[in-house]
Amino acid sequence: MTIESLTLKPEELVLLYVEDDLLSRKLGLFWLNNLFKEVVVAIDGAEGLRKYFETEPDLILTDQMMPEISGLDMVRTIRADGYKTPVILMTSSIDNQVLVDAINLGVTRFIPKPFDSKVLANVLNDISKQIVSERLFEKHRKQEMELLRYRDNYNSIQQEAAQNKERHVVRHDLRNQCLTDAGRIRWGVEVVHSPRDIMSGDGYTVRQLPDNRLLIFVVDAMGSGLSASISSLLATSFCNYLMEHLLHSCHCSFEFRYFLTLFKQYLSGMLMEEEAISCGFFLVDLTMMKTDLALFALPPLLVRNLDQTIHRIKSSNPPFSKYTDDIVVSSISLAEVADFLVVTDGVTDAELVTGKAYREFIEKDFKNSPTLAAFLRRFRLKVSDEERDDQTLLHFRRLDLPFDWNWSSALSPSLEALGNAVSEALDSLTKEISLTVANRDELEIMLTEALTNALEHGCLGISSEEKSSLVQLGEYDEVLASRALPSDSRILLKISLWRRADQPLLILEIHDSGSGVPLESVLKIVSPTAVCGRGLRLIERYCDSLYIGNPGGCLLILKTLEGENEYAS
Amino acid sequence: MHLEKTGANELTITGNIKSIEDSLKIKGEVNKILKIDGSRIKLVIKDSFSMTSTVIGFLMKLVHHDKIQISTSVGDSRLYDLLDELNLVQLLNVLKRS
Repeated sequence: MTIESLTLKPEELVLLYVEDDLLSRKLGLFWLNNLFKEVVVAIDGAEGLRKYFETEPDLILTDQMMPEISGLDMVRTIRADGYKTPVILMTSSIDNQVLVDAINLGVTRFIPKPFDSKVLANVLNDISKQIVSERLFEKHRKQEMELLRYRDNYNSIQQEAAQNKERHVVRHDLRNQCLTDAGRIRWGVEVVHSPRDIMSGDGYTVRQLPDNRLLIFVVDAMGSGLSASISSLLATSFCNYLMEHLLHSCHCSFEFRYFLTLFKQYLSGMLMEEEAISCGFFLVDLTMMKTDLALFALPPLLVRNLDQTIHRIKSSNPPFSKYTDDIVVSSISLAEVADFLVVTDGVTDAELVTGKAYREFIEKDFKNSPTLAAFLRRFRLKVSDEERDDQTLLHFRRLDLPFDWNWSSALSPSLEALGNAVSEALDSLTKEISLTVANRDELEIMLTEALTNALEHGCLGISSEEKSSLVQLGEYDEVLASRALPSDSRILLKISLWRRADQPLLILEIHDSGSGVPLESVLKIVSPTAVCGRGLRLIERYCDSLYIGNPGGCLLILKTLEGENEYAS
Repeated sequence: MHLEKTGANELTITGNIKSIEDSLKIKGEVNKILKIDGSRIKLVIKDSFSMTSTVIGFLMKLVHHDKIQISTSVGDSRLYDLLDELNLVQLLNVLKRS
């Protein structure tokens, strides 16, 4: 559409003509009727106002001198309502005050009375062009807005697709699951991945090998934006592919150094001349109780031993680049390790309110925190959300710790007995350690949910689907009361306290004689209309971590006991 | 936790809803009220910061199966946030008491 095609002529406009003098009005109307599509006539200012708001004309031609409401008074009322319709003011004489008021009210033109038809024609032509220009501008503005809305919508769809792709590439085979070593000690891996943008420069993958070893890869592509994201995504994706390929296509055993060599070959072809990435490969072998490491310029690994000492393990290799040649692989024994923490530089370089970098505090906070959740609470207190770079934190931990206190009881599988057991366990714990009211209430909620789950889903073997259908039919309570328990039904509750970090860690362990909580129940998102499945969500809300121990029904809940004023200093 | 019938169809709950016993008491009291007028109930939860999944499941059954109109007044914002996270604000007509 061109500007020409949009050009308006007076005959396409509606004019409001306000004139109190009958003779002038008739003469004017005779001439104006031929010029405009429609001429709305008003015989004074009051009628002019009424007709203006009724018809909303394209422009106004008005006499100034009229009884009661003058032309300018009428324009003043129109402008007060926010209308900017062009106005041509006709007057036989102009005093200074009228001129100033007219200018202030945005009167477009003045025409001397009696008007000259040629002068008026020229003025109307000019104003028509002005109206066209304003309408064109408005139309373009609306088109721009429309385009922006479309682009915004389009970008949102693209960003969501990219985020889904990223989630699809990162893997965690052991989310909420325990891995058991040769001495029957259980271990767990937890990852927190917080991208700053839609696409992250960080990536990770946690894969369980068929021989129970664990391959962990954490990557932080240097730089920022899409380029870093692509490098990180490609590296993570290739890591997954290579592992699958070596295991399934080659049917060979997984050899760490060979894996690293192939990875190096791929990455040197993929990276650009000046590109480098920080990354770390961990091969955890719980049979040999050791972890092989190949670290490339990652922030130091923090390792806590069972005796509470903290060690920093620095990367032995410079950042991975096109020119990476020999790879140094080191090894740590897990025999005395309680846990270790891997972070990307988004954590260590995070700026604090004081202007310092978080790396100064990371070791102390790790020492104080027995879980990743407790560590993150400390981190987030120090670092503002706005300052965050991509952050990835991976925590590998022992779940069976040498406890400093424990309580256990085999419980009779009835709601009443379970309720009593919760009170008994918490009373016993209170004798050992001072609990805040909030801590005790949260523990009671978690135990209530976990033990109810153990009875319903474990001992009675009621599946989520069956429960959902029984609840909807209104028969659940009856079934729960009448269904016979298998003769070997049992529930075991164990509570252990570990005090080797600066804050005590409580481990709640609930065993049942059934098949326990299926892992899918932990991982799945509960539909808003679902009538059940919220018990685990409640436990997750108040605990630091949650693990399913297989085989059999076992739920492990970790909770740091924090005092109400723990972080006041 | 303490329960008090504060109107024909109104049950006021004081203290935290956290145990198996609390869940059973609430279910019993709500059923008692609904026996007299089985179409609606208002729960005034004064200061609990949470709610057990047993109570949540029971209330959902009342809405879906028994077609009971439930309105819930919540005093602690943590409970409101929990119900909001679980997508229950609309279903249980939850209002935050100021």
